[in-house]
Amino acid sequence: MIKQQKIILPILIALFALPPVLLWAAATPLNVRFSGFSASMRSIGQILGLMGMSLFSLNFLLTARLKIFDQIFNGLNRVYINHHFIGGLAFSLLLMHPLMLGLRFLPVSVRAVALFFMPSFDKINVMFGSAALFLMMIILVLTFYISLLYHIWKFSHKFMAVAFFFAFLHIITIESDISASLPLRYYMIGLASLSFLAIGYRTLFSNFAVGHYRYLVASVRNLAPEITEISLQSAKSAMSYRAGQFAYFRFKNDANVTAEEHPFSLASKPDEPTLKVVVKNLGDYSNTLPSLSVGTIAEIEGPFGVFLKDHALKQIWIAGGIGVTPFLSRAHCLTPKENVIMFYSVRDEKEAICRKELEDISHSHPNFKFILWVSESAGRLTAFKIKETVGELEGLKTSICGPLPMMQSLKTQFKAMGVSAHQINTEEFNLL
Amino acid sequence: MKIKYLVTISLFVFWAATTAVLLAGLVFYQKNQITNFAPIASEKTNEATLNKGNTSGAVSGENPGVSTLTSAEVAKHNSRQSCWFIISGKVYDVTNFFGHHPGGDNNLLMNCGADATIAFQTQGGRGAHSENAVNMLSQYYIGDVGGGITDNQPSDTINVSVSPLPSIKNDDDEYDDKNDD
Repeated sequence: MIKQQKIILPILIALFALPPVLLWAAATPLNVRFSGFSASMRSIGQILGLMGMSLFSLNFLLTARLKIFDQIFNGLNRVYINHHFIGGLAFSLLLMHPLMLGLRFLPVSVRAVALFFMPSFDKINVMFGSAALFLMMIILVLTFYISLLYHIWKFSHKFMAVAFFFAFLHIITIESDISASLPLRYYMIGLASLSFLAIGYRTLFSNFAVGHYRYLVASVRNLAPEITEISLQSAKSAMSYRAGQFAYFRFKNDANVTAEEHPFSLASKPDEPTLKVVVKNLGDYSNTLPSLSVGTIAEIEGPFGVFLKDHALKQIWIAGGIGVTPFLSRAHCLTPKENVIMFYSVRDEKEAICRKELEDISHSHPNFKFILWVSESAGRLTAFKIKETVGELEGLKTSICGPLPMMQSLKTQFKAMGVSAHQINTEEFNLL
Repeated sequence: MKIKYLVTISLFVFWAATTAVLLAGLVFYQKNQITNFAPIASEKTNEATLNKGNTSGAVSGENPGVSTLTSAEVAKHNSRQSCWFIISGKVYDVTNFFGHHPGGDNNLLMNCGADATIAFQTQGGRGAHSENAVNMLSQYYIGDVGGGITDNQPSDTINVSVSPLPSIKNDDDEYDDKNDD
């Protein structure tokens, strides 16, 4: 699994960014393209622009949130990890694009370079590019360097589509290889068109293009301080899902909860008519969920995710805090052949919301062992302590879901103990 | 996290380079000390009224006593030591531009003493010179064909005076010429 994750990113980048460079190289002999300092700088600038724009386009395709991405990326949440990387890479390439193009005038004079960088409304085709770049810069500074409230950040990020539109105007009006080489033109415009389609799919046409399930809120229960359980009944057709998956929820027309879309793990048993999610009040949005009204309509998109998909014979489950939710669902679906030892790590006993449910399952299932780990008294749960309890880690599949630092540190500890990376599965919620 | 480092470095390089270039090229730019000849103004006579006391100037290797800028006169300046050519009816002395032409010295030399209109507009068939290039060209203007030598800027070109600062790399190997001499 890890191999697939590691190579998918370079493959994706090569698949989209290399073709335009090859088409560009085929249009004019390379010895002319790199015939001197100025010519070479211009060529490098052009290559950077083509690669940057292709990756920029690719990033919009990734936001289409298609079900097939689950298989390609081994979990939809990983799409966003890749989106983040590709976005940063595209931006870096696009920053260097005008720089290289301007530096080609250096042999003439520094002033000549300066004049190239000066904005001029005569060169509207260049101005489109500058507008795109500056808008990207503002949006990405907000993404990389400034901590915004999630819904504010998300709103700001949507303007990337505007930046992309300006970039598109730039590539169709600039007199360069894209205007001169027909194959290159087809590629860049074709790719950009797919991106516009993806943008439209997710924004303007989302109401009728994207499939949603309609559910109604049946009950809202407070399981513990700051932990809310929401149960829903389907209004039309029920969503079928696998244990361990998640879905996007949007509660509409509720007096207390905004109609923002948020992903939650599905905590209920897949065959049951009632859908259940358990949410921790971590931020502005989740803090309003305890006041959700019964009867509110929920639009659900999903299911997504590949966590806990396989049925390995020997498994260790490690749940941290609210990360217990996918395991809860999965525990109901254990086959008799599966041997599972589950560690549920909480700070204090009050936090252990589904303890009873899990203990009941451990009594009825012969090979499911449940261990509640209260870090307040037992100390932090470490890989070493897990090994002490479990014994041999060889041949065991480990699944971890919890706070990001906990997942990362446990993964490191296991790897240090010789557990191979592809035996460890984690479910990261953070970049959804 | 790794990609954030790349983004940070790229942003830094971008802003550092553009700021440095804009400051050096525009703010600290020294006006060209070299003056052209005194204008003959609106006279279109055959009298030579050249001011011989000019400093080094954009016009070099000029022939004292020349009156009108005819094609024949321009044709005399057909070498590296004194290179004039005509573009769209205007005469330019580009002797000081050798070593600075991104297209190489040979492409300049080929046009010395001649009408370079087509060569300039089509870059020998590979596309037109940029607006930047047109701006730079205007500083080498010495007069209209059929007129006298003047220090007025040509009226229909963009009036930007650019000082020919010493090139960063005075390497003729930089350009795609086969022979540079």
